[in-house]
Amino acid sequence: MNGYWNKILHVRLDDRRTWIEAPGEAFFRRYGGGRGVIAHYLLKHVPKGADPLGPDNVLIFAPGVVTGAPLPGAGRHSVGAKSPLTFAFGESESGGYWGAELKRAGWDAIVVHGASPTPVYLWINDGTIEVRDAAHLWGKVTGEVEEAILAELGDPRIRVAQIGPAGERLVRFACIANDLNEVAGRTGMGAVMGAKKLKAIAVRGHGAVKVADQPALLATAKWVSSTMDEKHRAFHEFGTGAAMQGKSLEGGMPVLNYRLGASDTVARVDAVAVREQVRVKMTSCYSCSVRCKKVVHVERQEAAAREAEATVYKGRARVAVDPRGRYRVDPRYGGPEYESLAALGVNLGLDDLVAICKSNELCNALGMDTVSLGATLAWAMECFEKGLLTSEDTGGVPLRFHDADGVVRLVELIARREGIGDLLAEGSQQAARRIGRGSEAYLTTVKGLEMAMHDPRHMPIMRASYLLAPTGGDHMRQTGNRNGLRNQVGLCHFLAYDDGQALTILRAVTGWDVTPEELVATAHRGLTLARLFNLREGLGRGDDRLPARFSEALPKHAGLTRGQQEQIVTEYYTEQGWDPATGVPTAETLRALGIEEDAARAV
Amino acid sequence: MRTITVSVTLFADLRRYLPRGAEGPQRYTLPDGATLADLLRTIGVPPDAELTAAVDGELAAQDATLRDGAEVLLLSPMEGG
Repeated sequence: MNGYWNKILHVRLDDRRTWIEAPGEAFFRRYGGGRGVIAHYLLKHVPKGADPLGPDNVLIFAPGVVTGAPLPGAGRHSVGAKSPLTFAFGESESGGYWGAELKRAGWDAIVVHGASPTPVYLWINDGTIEVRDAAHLWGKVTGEVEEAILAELGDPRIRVAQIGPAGERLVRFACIANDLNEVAGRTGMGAVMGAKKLKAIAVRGHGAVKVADQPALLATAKWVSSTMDEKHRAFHEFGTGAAMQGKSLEGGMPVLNYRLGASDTVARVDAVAVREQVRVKMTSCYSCSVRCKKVVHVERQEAAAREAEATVYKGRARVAVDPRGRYRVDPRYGGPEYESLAALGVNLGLDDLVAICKSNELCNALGMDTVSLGATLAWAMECFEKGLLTSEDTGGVPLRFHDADGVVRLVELIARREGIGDLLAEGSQQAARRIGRGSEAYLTTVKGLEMAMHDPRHMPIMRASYLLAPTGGDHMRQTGNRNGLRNQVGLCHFLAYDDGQALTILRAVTGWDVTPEELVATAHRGLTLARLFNLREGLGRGDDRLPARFSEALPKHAGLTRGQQEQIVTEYYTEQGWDPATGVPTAETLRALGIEEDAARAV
Repeated sequence: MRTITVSVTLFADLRRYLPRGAEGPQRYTLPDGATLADLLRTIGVPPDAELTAAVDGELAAQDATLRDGAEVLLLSPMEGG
């Protein structure tokens, strides 16, 4: 066995029972990991119509067969469950070290069943599994929890995936943070974990993922590391968010709830500004040479900044000072990616970089998705502007664009479901349903998931992704076989491997004689299983649609008509071997993908 | 021959075309009447490179004529995060 251990850990939290499943090589070759494994278990274990926040939902942590191999980009894992935001297929991907550590501990996936009556955390020390009490950790922010777990288990190299107070309070867009600065952010997986009263999963692995052909893998790893200047320099120097000025010039930047397309203050908050003003260093995910993760550090006062420079950074970094003395931004929580700079910044009309970094830090500490949170705020602010939400509704809290300090306060209110935060914690679509008054017109959700910060009116390549991703408003183009596959084998999208090299990597790690066609089928299988789950939960063609906002024109881009959208949807259904009218996978497709048994559970 | 001087800021991975060790906006001198394409050639950016160019704050096509003192931004499209 190479690339996988043939060991899937099942944990039932009701009675703290654990068992191991050994599904065999064919399973891993068929599903790969990530979405494929998640969709398989959701169809198998979650009853139709189950409450996403009830004990019948299952929560799956699924790295891929490549995750944990010694190779840049091999630090990815996915988390899946039925989503409390979309009531459909929920899944989110994360980087960092946790997924690789899980593999090194000898596990291919974790399936969490049921719910615990009291807070617990899971401790996986290679093959030893322990469900431990977490009452003392409940209510604490992620930084405190990681510190406490590492101290009580006595090993600083333990990796922790966990929820923050927002997940405990079932904020529908709560995330699962790992390594403090990486998150499985989308589709509310943190709320599912919170509903199970599972505070954290701590992992320590002392093994190494077995690789079939070390020289071939090493050659690919060396190649990608040698292309830094040519292929990865932007990510290495800035991380994401270095092209925001370009987006704005092209008229495709989300501004004031996706209304304007451009802002003349973008340069104050893009990744270039981050580097110049608040960044202290870059870090990496597991085994990666690119190092695209920003770390920002801001102190309230000059003296503290100078002390940190001398003691923490030994003179190698400049620590920023909030010119208004308001916020300290803790470097343990990393720094804002493009999505966060846009969702917590430009789309809310903000050009206050320190406040944006503070909101981002709070989201990581409290455990919330910055995209859904930012987009929910943008929706609420537009409603407030139009008088659909009033001071009476908000308990006197103003919801105004351009109010940076207001946003920082709202992040905390939402995480703790206090005042207006309780409504906004439902996510924009549920909140709009609750207040009505025509507020649905200002949503930017697909299937209930707030769309990411890439405007499909500006970027044709995003249209199919938003319309057809099984998770809703997702920008990662997982609908395509290339990106879809990377999710399933556990390979980062930011590395410059082409499809041939991805195949080489998969072959080198697993030793499987995989053909390009088989690889495409693996991605196709994952997407088709996710589609089957959504169909079973009552979704259909009517849900493969962009919200009304995107029918409106931007100053530089036309709106997308219903006809344009329908055409993309029909073409995609046809391409996938699904019925061109309904999007139901045909019997022939199910047979070709070998998933008739999974499909039978979707009926 | 009359010449013009333009100021060019390179963003993201286009910065690999900066002269070694250089930081910040760079000045380039070109013949009067030079276009954006001429400027890219002078910098060493391949003609088929994926980029967004702005001249004096507005999007510009490759055949746009540059004025003396123009401020040029060259950005590469990126996504994700």
